[in-house]
Amino acid sequence: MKSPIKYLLLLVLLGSIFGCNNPQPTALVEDEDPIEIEVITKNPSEPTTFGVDSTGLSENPVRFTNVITVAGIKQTFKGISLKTSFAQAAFFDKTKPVFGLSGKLIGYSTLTPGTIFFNNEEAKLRPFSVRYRVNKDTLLGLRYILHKRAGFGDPFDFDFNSKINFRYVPDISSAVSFDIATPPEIFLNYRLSGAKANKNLNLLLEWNAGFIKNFEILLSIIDEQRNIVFPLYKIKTVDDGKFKMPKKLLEELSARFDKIAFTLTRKFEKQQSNGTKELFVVSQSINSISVDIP
Amino acid sequence: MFCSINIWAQSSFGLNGLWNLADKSTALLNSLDNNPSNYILLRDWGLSFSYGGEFSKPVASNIYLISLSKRFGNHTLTARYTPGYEKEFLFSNGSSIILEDSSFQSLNSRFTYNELLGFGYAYKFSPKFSVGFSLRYFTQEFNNETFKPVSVGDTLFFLERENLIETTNFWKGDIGFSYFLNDWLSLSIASINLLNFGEQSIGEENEQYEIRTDKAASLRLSFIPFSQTSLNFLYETNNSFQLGMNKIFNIYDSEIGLSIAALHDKYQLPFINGLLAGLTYSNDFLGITLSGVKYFQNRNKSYSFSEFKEVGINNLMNNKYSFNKAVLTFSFTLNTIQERLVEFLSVDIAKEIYPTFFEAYIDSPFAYGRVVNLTDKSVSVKPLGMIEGINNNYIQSPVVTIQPKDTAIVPFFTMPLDYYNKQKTEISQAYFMLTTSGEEADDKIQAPILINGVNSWDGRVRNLRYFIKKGIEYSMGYSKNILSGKKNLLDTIVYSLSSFYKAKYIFNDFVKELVYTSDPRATTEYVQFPHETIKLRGGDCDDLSVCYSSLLESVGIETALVDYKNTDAIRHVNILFNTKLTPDDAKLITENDTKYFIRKDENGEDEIWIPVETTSLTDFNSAWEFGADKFFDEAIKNFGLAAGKVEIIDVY
Repeated sequence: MKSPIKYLLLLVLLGSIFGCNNPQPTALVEDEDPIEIEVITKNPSEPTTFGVDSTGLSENPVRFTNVITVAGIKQTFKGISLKTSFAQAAFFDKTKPVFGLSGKLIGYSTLTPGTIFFNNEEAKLRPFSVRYRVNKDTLLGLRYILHKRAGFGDPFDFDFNSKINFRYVPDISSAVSFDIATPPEIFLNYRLSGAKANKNLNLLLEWNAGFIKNFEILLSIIDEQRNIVFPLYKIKTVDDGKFKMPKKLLEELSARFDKIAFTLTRKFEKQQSNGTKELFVVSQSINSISVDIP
Repeated sequence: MFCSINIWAQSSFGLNGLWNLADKSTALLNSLDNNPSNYILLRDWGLSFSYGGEFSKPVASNIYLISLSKRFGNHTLTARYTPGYEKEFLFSNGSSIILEDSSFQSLNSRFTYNELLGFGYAYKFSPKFSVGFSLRYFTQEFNNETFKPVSVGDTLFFLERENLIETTNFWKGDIGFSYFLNDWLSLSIASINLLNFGEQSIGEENEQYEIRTDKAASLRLSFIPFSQTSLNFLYETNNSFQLGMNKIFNIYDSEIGLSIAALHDKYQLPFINGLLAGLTYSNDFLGITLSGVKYFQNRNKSYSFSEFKEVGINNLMNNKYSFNKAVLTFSFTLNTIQERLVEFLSVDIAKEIYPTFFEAYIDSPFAYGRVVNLTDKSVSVKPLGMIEGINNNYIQSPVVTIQPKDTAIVPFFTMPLDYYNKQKTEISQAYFMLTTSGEEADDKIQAPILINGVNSWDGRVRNLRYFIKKGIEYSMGYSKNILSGKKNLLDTIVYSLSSFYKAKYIFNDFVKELVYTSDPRATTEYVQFPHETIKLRGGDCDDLSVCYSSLLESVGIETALVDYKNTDAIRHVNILFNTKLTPDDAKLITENDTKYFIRKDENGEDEIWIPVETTSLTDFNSAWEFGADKFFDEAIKNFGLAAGKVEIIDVY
């Protein structure tokens, strides 16, 4: 073989060996439904029960000055839904802080400056206690509440995809009234296939898509023996009518628990910032469902 | 000429460019991609190595492929390893974990597609038509990061990232053929994704991201409007196409080729989405090709995941996400097999074979081949032929020179084995071969041929010579035995009369127990060799003339056959022999000048030849008299010799 060809071959061989690197990947931008997942239970010594108020008012009232909440809650179990209507208003006096035993700010004392009506139904004044340590709570004062569960309780009905009239009649000045829009009702169902023994579980949540911007799914596990619900993760995704449970997440949770609960929340929020007149109004449509894992 | 394989749009995208299949360039050597019938002008071994870079950010370089091809006659096999045939996608899969400090931790996915191996087989049915088949092996890996809960205590589940990896590998198979309609138009048709068979299935979540394998077909036309210039059009039924041009320049013993093609892919924008260009240099041993693809859209950007999800990927090397590329290919052809310069168009057997006529086919061809020169230069062709049973080796015929692109008639001569002894007529095979340099055949062909039995004769008196010659050894012993018994007599006569008396003694002894019989064969003339005539004690005029001639020739007496054509509708043969007497000495044997015939020897001297009627089985004097009367009447008196009705044929 001629010398130039030998050198050429050698050059090619060396160049190939030392000049190789992996092709650059093409970047794709996710433009479909994003999923954000947040761990809720950060402290194992504080198991959380979740009830009708999912605004966080009871857990952390410090961040509010004046808050009005309305919620329509459905709890679905084995095809049967139980409806709860809930409305509340709480007003805090920021000049009167309440501290815990350790000196930590727990909240502020509440005010009851007049009468509150939801859909012309007068709200009841009820104690507002806040948990701040295990088995420790303290009373911040009174708040206005209407609560009807399974047809029992106060004469108040939360109508979905409608409006609820709020009226405030102060003791010393003229009344204030406005309507609070309510989100559409959620009709939640699920499809479960496979078995955890086979490690091929698939869980798909399906609901009527509403594309409400403020939408989240709360994933909880249910300890039936202790009759306690433990919220684990808050999942933010698009209200597009379907959510496929991440496979690995489902696999790991189903290995330890036989029942998982999902709470879907559509939320309208409105905030006015005006010093002591700061007002936060939230209206929620909630549907919870529990899933038995075979 | 050879075969390949196709994969979807990849079938129409060869890294080395779009070339006319008829081009001698080595650019097609490794191209299973856009060469539907794996048509490569490879003669023996071919090794190809491609190294190149993608103009991504940063630029990445890699070995694209290494291929090995081998031709076995009309079969060609190709195997290639393609480590650089890879496409990878990296993206945030839309999931994220919100950490305690409210920061996000995004989860990513990485999809990797590879074509690892390819195998091609092609068979050339004729110089114009070849069919190919290919198999290519693909791997796909889908690596998705996902949430994995990690428990701390009974009810606390933190989240961490975990990789879920699924792989699926599969084979693709396709067929294609190439047909050269004439010197300026060729056609190829190939399937796309004809066969797809995988090794394992994957979950439906990743299934949607697998390489698309929609079935289709591709059609390729190459048109040569001018010498060394071709226009190529490749269309796929999925509405993608390539349109390009090649130009070849011959420089001494090498060639330089240019190729450029416009690409249209239904999955890419704009309508003409890129240019594929190639520059190649090749000689008999080495080929170097520099090629590249330039897309008209900026490829260094991010793409929508949802669009990727919908359209998917159809082709690893040419898709809407492909970067511009430049590739340098080295091809080595190790040709222990010479290039075919000529080939047979047909062969015609001119005559059947009479094995005893061992010299007849040296002067007269037994077959003619129609041979075409495939090159642009004059070619000297060495024709070789071998008849099974008749020859032990190929017999070379005279060299024939054929003009460029011309067709010539090439004669084939032969020489039967002198010990052939089969009595029966049979059909055998004649093998023909053309060589232009070295010993490797440019082309071969075979044809059936009739071989007559060893005693068969075509009826031409001229060819009785071969029976005479073939029996000469036996005759020598027989004649010498007779003459040794007459030694005392021969010693007493003058030397000039020795040939005459030898002939006389031999005849008288030879005819003692012979009888004349007509030819027993109905269709083909049958001639006995001298030993058979003596053993059988009889024969017809052919057999007796052959026998007596052979006996005389074996003791050095020249003889000639006298062919009396169409006398009384019966052809007859007897002989003349040379007494070596001069006309002045003729009176030593006869006073009757009609009883001999004067012929000139090679020096121009007159010699006395005596006609002998071998069928006159009495004695020499009678046979001479009968022979002389017949010869004088028909050859001389009736001007038979002048009119060609009587012919004298020298045995040697």
